[in-house]
Amino acid sequence: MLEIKNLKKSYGDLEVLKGIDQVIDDKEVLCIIGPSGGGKSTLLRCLNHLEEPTEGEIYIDGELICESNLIKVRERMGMVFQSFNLFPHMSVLENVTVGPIHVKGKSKEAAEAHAKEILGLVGLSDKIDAKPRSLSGGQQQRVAIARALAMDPEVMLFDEPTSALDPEMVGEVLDVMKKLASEGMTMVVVTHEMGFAKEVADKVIFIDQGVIAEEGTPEQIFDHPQNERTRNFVSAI
Amino acid sequence: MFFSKLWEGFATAFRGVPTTMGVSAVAVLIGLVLGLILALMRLSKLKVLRGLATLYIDIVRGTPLLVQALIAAYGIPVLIQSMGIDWRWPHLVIPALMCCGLNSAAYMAEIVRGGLTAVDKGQMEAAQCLGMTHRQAMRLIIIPQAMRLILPPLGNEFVTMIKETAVLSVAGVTEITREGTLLSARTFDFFTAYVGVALVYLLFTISISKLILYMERRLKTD
Repeated sequence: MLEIKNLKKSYGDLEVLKGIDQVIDDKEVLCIIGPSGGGKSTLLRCLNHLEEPTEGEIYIDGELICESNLIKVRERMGMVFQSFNLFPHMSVLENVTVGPIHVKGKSKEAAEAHAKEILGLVGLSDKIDAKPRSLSGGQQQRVAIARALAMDPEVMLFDEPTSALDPEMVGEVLDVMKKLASEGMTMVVVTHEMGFAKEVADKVIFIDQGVIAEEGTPEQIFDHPQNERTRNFVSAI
Repeated sequence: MFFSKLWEGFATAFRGVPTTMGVSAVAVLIGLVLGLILALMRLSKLKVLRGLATLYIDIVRGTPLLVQALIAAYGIPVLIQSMGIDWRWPHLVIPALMCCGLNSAAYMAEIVRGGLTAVDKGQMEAAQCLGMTHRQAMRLIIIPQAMRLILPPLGNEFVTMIKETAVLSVAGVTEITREGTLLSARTFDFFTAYVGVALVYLLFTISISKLILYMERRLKTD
């Protein structure tokens, strides 16, 4: 369970997040939507302290995330980036095993067996020896998901995972994410894919100008938005 | 007659090739390792480390290699002897290697720093998200990628070092230039002796530069 308490983030005078409170239960899929520059990605990146919060706290299973436990906590949170950020000097298999081997101290054999299983899950069994740059965007993002999953995380964070993809590749990545959700993975997803949010999310929060302008079930947000800004945003899609 | 003298100059100078190449290669390797340490120090959060690295680089880049080589080869033994210890370098190639290596490190530090900072920021983030420490991320993810980027400038540093080691000819090392000096002292034909020296340098600097260009192209397409 993730708990966000009064989270604020400023860059100099610019206040990007103005006090966010939210609880993400186990096995819940939370989608974060909202206009660009509203603070969605900053919120996500504060969860694992890629951005240092200016104020407020994040708790994972009741444990406050801070400097001293950060490295251990990050093992428990997988992250998928918009731009994949695969390690270009490593093969697909090495990308997926480098964490388990060097961070978790798994043996190479065990890590590779586990990695092959996960790569099968994301449909890339035939690409284990390929270098990332020889793959399509959709394939690269699926490798990135596999890399995060190989650490057996409790929570998966997705930062606009399909925004850098060609339209025909969006589906294959969303399919993998749907599968994960149906298997009970706790997920926090920043996305512009409203179809995905509607279908998969347990809860949707609409973030605008650094605050949660509205939150609710997908039906509440997409079909009966109460807030005017939400209404404008949703109707514009 | 002229050409046979020129050939003699070339052939004599060529005898210095193993020394020049050996010293240059070892110096560049020392420079790479120390340069990496200096680069990491300059990128450190600790002000003391940054300051020390900058001081070192300023001193080395602010003094001629010739002066550094003379201090190392002749100055240091005199200093030690003045303390009442009978000591000299077992071989003058040792201070030469040290000196060129330490010198190269100052230049290499900038090359390595450029390589490290050129690696995409997302790589460090991705590594940290896997739970890697900063040190692990540098060793497993950032440095291997930076090394690829710095391979071409590293080669250029090697070519520069080949030429720079000529100053060692006055610091007790019989490399290419020193061979030319010794020959001209016997024959008094300074022209053919030193043009021979120049041709030996050209042979290696041009061919190695071409090799680097070739490697650079291969790396780009790979």
